[in-house]
Amino acid sequence: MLTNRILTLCAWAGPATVVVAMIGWLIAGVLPVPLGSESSIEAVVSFYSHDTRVIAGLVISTIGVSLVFPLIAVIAVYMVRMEGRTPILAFLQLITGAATGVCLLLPLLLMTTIAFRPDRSPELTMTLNDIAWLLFITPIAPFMIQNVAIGVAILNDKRQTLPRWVGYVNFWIAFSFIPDPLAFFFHSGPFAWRGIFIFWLALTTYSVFLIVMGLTLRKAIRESAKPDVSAVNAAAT
Amino acid sequence: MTHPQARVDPDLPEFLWGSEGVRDTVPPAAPRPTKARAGHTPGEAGLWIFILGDMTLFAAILIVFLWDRRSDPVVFEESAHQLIQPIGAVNTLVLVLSSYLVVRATYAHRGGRHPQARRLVAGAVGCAAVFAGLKAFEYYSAISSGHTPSTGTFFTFYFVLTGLHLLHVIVGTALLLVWQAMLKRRRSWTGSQKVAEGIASYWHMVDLLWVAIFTLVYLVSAE
Amino acid sequence: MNGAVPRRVTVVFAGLVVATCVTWWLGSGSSRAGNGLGLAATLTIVIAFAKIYFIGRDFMELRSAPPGLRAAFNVWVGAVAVAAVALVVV
Repeated sequence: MLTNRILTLCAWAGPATVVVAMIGWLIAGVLPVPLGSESSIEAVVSFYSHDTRVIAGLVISTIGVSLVFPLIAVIAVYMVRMEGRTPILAFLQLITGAATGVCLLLPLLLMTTIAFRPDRSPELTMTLNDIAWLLFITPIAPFMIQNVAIGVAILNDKRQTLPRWVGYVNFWIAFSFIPDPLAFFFHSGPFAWRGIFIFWLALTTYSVFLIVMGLTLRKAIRESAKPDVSAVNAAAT
Repeated sequence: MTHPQARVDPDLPEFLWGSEGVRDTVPPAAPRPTKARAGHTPGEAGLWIFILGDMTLFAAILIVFLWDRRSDPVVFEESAHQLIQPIGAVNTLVLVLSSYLVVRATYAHRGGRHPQARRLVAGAVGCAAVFAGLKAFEYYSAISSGHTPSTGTFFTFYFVLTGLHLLHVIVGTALLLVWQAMLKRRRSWTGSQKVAEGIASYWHMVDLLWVAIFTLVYLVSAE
Repeated sequence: MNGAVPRRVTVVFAGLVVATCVTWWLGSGSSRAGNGLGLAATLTIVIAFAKIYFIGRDFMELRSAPPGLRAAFNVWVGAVAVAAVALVVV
C-alpha cells in the first residue's frame, strides 16, 4: 500500500539522517575533529579557507539533517495512534520536532556562509564561527521536550504500539542533553562546545535516537501491515 | 487496511477509525514473549536501560574527573579541602537512610500495609528535603567563598556532578510523591508493582550515584 | 513476599552506615602521612563500590533479578571501581 511505503520511507529517514550528515561532515572536516572554542583564530580561518570542500560537505550535511523531518512525521502518526482522540503529545512532538530540524539546519547554513568569503576579516570569521557552533550545541529544550513527549506517550500506551524500552531510551536521551548549555560557560575542557560531554555525547545519543526510532517504527509498520488475523477469523465465521 | 469490525467515523482521520472500538475488543498487547528466565526484573526491563544508561553517564563524568585530576593532583587536593566534608558525609547517610525507608516501603506496599508504606515514603521524601537543604547550604557556602563552576577544573566537575545529581534527586522526589499518591488511593500491589518498583529502583540509583560522587570528589580527591 | 522486611536488608543498611563512617574517617586526613596515597584511597574506593554493590543486590533487589541484569550491574560496579583505583593510584 502506498501509505505504508511512504511510512516506511519516512522511518528509514532516521538512520539516513545519521549517514548523510556524517558523510557531509567528514567531507567538510567538521568530523572527526571539529573546531573548538579553544581553537586559535588562525586555526578557524584555515579551516574555512578550504572553502569548496567545506561548502560541499556542509551542504550535504544540511540535506542530511533535514531528513529528520520525515522521521518526525512518522513518529507523529504512531503517537496519534497511541493517544487516540486527544493527541496532545503527538502535537507536542510534531512542533518541537520541527523546531529541532530548524535548530540543526540554521547553524550549518551559517557555517556554509562563513566559507562563502574565506578572505573575510579573521575576527569576523571567529565571531561567526562562535555563533554557529553555540547555536548548534546549546538549544536543548525543543529536543528534550520532543524526547519526553515520545517517552510519556509510549509508557502510557496500553496497547504497546511501540516497545516500552524505546520510551525509556527517549528519557535517557533527553537527559543526555542537559549539560549542553554549559558550552556557554567554558572555553575549553570537557564541558566546552567540543567537549566530550557536550558535542560527542549529544552526537552519540541523538544518533541513537534517530536509529532506534527509525528501526522501531519500521518494525511496527511491517507488523501492522500484516493481515489482521482476528478480522480474518471474524469474517470467516 | 480497515478492519471489518472497525467503526467508520467520517469525523476522524482514517487511521483513527475503530481506535475506540479496537480498545474495547482487542485486549492489551500480550507481554512480548521473553526467553523463560529465572528471576524477577524490578519494575520493568526497559527501565533498566535508562538506569544503567544514566549510571554509565555519571561513571563517564567521574572517570574523566579522575583523569583530569592526574594532571593537577595538588590543586585538586587543595580544592577538595574547600568542600565541607561533614556535609557530604551526612548527606550520604541521609540518602542511605532514605533508600532503606524505600525498601521497607516496597515491602509494606507488597504486603498491603498502605498506611505504613505511606509513612515510609513520606520519610524518604523528608530525607530528600534534608539532602536538598544541606546541598543548598553547601552551594551557598562554596559560592560565597568565591568558588564557582568556572574557578578551576575541580569546581567545574564538583558543580556539574552534584548539580546533575541534584536534578535526579528532584525528579526522584517527584516520583516518590507519585507513589505516595498511589498509596493514598490504596492501589493494590498487583496494579502498582511495576511502577512502585520502578520508582524505588530509580531512588536507589540516586543513592548509589551519590555514594560514588561523595567518595571520589570529596574523599579521594582530598587525600 | 508478604512479610516484613527481611533481616538481611536491615543488616545491609547497618553495614552501609558503618562503611560510610569508615570511609569518612579514612578520607578525613588521618591517613595523610604514612602509607602514602595508594592504600587509603584504594580502600576508600573499594569500600564505596562494595556499598554500591550491596545497594544493588539488596535494596534494588537485583539478587532475584535475571542473571543478565545482575551481570550488567555488577560489570558496571567492577569496571568503574577498577578504573577509579587505576586512575587514582597508578
